[in-house]
Amino acid sequence: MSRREFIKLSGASSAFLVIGLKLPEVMSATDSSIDPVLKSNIWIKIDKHNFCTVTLPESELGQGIYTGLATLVAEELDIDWQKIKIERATSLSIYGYQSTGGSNSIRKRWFMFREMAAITRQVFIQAAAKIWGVPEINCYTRNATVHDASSDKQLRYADLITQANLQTLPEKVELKSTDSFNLIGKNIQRIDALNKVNGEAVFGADVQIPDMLIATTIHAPVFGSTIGKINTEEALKLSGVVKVIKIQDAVAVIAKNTWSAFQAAKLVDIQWQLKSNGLDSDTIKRDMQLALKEEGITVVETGKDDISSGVEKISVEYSAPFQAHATMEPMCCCAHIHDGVCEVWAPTQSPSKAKSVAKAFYYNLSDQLLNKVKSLLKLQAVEDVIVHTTYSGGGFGRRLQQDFVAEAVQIAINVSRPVKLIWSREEDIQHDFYRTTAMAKLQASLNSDGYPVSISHRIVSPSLRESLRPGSLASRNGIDGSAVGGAVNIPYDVKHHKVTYKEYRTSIPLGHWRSVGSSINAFHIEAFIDELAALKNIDAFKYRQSLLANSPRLLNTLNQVAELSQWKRDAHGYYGIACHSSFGSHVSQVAKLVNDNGKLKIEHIYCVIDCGLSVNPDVVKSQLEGSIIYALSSLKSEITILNGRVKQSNFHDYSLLRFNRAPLISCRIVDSSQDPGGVGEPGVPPAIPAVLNAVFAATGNRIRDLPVKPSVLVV
Amino acid sequence: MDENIKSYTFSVNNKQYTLELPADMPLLWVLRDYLKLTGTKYGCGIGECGSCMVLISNRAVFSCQVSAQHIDGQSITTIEGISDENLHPVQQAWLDEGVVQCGYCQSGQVISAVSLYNQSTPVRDEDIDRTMSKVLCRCGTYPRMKIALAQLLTKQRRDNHE
Repeated sequence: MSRREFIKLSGASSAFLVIGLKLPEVMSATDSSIDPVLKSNIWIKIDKHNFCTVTLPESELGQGIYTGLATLVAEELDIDWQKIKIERATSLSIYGYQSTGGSNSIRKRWFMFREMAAITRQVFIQAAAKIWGVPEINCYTRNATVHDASSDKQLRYADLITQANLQTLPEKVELKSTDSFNLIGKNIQRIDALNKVNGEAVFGADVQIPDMLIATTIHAPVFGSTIGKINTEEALKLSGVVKVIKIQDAVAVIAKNTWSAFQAAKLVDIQWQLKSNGLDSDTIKRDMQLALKEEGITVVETGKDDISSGVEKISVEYSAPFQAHATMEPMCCCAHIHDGVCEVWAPTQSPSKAKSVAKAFYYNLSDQLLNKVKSLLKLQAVEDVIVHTTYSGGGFGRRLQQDFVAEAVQIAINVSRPVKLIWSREEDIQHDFYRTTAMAKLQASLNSDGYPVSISHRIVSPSLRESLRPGSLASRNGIDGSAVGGAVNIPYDVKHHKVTYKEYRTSIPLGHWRSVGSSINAFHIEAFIDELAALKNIDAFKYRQSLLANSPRLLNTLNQVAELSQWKRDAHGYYGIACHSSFGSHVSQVAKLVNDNGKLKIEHIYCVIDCGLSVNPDVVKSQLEGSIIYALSSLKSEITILNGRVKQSNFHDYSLLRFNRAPLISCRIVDSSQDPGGVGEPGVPPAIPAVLNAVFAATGNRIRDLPVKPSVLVV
Repeated sequence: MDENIKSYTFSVNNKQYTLELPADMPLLWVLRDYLKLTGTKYGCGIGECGSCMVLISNRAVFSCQVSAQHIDGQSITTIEGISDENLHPVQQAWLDEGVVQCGYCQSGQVISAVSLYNQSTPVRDEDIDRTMSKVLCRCGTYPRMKIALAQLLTKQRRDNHE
C-alpha cells in the first residue's frame, strides 16, 4: 500500500474517532456531540480550543513512549507542547496491528507519525491560503496557527477545520531537518509523570466498572498438570465469595472484594491430575551439560575453520538460569460482556493479540480454530470485541502473552457481570513465561599475539519459539532465532566465526524477557572476550578496541565509555568492560567495583549508547539506568524448578535489587542524527559481563555460572 | 452475618469513615476495594515490595500488613492525600528529576520519601537507605530517587536554617 493510499484509508475511517465505554454508540459510527476534527488521519485531532489530541497505538510500560510519540507529532505539527493531549488507541482494526515490544515503537513510528503531523500541518496551510487568496508559500505555521508572511493575518488551526477538510491531501510533504527540531532532542517532561506521582494513573488493576466482581485464579503448580475434582465447600463459606469455577487451565475464585477472593483461593481443594513431571533444575542442568558435549545445528558460519592457524586454544562453558519478569503490577485484566459486545481493559503489550484471544473465548472457539475459520475476515470486521489498554505496571516482555485476558473473558462470560481478575504475586511468580535457562561452550584459537582467529559458540537452551508455538521449531530447521539472538552477529573482526544451537526440550513456559537472547549471549561473549584478553595480559578495553574495526559505532561507544569511566584510573577500583549491539543500538559499559568492608560491591556503572537520534535524551538515559538495574538484579535472582514446579513464590525468595544496593550510574548518549535505534532493551546486555569482568579484576576468579553467590559480590 | 465482620471507624486523608469490615482484611484492600483509593497498589501481599505504603501517624507502613482491626481510630494518609492544591515537595522533586517510569511502585516510593521529609530528627543516609529499600522498583528508578531525595533534603535543611 502506498503512503497516500494509507492516509486515505485512515482518513476514511475517522468517523470512529471517539470511543467511549459504551460500545453500541461507537458502532453507530458517528457522534454529533464531538468537536469538529480534522479528518486527515485517525491519529491526530484538533479541537475547537486549538488543542491537539494524539491517539497512541503503543503501550506505555514505563519506557516513555506516550511522550515520545506525542513529541513527534507536536514537532511536525508546529504546536506547543502544552497544547498536546493524548489518548490510547483502542483495539479497533482501523488502528492496525498493535504490539509493543522489541524496543521498536519509535523505530516503527518515526516516519509515520511525523509524516501524519506534517500532512495535517500542510492541509491547514492550504486551507488558510485558500481563504486568504494567497500562495501557500506565503504561509507559515507557529504554535497551531497559520500566519500570512505578507500581512498580519493569522488563523488558528481550530478555525481552519471546515476548510481543511475540503482540501486534497498533499502528494508530498517535507519533514523538518534535524537541525530545525524544536522539541525532538529536548528533555521534555514525561506526559505521564504527574499522574504517576499523585496516584491518579490508571493501571489495569485500578479499573473500576460499576457492579464489578473481583476474581483470582489458581493454576496447576506442577507444569503440565491438569485440574481434576475440586471441592469448593470451604471456600464458599467465606464471606464475600460468590462463585468458584473451572476455566481453561485454571480455577477461578470470584468474590465481592480482592481479599475474599485471595483468602478463598487458599481454601479451594483441587485434585491436580499430575503430581510430578520429573522436572527439576538439577536434572535440567545435567541434561543440558550432556547436550553441550555434542555439536548442535549450525546457525551461522563465516570464514574458514582454520584452527591450525591458531597457536593457542581455549574452551570455556557458561550457564544462566531461568528468570521471572516480576512486573510490579501482577497479571490482571477486566472484562465486561454487555449489549452484544465483549469489552476488555488490560495492561497489555499487545492489544491486537489480546483482542484475538478475547474474541476466541467470546466466540467459544479455540485460538487455532479461529484462525482456520473461513469467515475470519468477516469476524475481524465486526468490532464486537474491544480492548482498552491501560498503563502497565512494567512489561519487560511478560505482557506480550495474553493468558490473563483469556481468563478474564472466560470468567466474565460465566458470571454475566463485569469482572476484574487479579493474580496473587505467588501465581505471578509461579506462572510466568520465563526467560529461558541456557548453556554455552565458547572456543577460540588465538594467533601468536593473543587475538582470536576463530571463535565458535555452542548454545544449548530450551526454545522460546517452541514453547510459545509448539511444533514451530521444526519449520525453522531446529533453530530458535531468539536463543541465538545477540550471538549471530558478533561485532568482532574474527576470520572464522561459528554459532551452533541445540534445543533442550522442557515443558516450562518461556517468553520474551527484556533484551531476550542478548540477555544471555552478551554475557557469554563478553565474558569470553575478557578471558581471551587476560590470557596474554592485554588490557580488556584495548583488546576489544583492536577487534572492533568493522563496528565503528560500537567502537566509538567503547572509546567513550573508557574515557567517561576514567578506565582503571582509580587504584581502589576494580574495572570491567563490555559492549554489545542490539535492537539497532550500540552500547558499551564499564563496571567499577570497590571493596566495602571486605565485601565486593558495585559502586558505579558507566554507560555510553549510540541509539541514533534521541527523541528525548532524558528518557533514553532513564531507560539505560533502568536496563542496568534490571540486569544487575539477575546477578542474584533465579527461578529454580523443584519437583516439577517453580520453587520461588514471592519477593522474599525471588530477590531483586533494592535502593541501598543501586550503584551510581552515569550515562552518555552519542551525538547522532541517524534514524533512532531501540532504547528499552540495549542497555541490559552489557551490564552482567561488565560486572563479572570486574569481579575477575578484583578476585582473579571467573564467574561463569549465574547467579553470583552473595559471598562473592553484594547485590 | 459473619461474626468476623465488625464496625471500624478511622480517617483516610482527613475524611472519617465507619465501615463494616472483616477483622483480618488488610488496609490495602479496604482502601482499594471499599474506598476506591487505587493509588495504593498491591504488589506482594507479604510486606516485601512496598507498593502499598501508606502513612499512619506519619509512619510509612505496608498497608497489606495492617488489618482492619488495627485501623480503628487511626488516621491514615494515602498518596491521594499527601498534597492538596500544590504538589508535595517530594512529588515536585520527583518530577524535576524525571523519576517515574512505569509508575506502579511510585505511590509507595513517594509515601516513603514523605515520611523521611517529615522526620523530626535529622535524616541520615542510613535512614534513607533503610526507608527507601523497603520499596521495590522493577524499572530501576533508584538512582534518580537517590538524587531527588538528596537534593530535596539538602534544600529542606537549608530552608530550616534560614
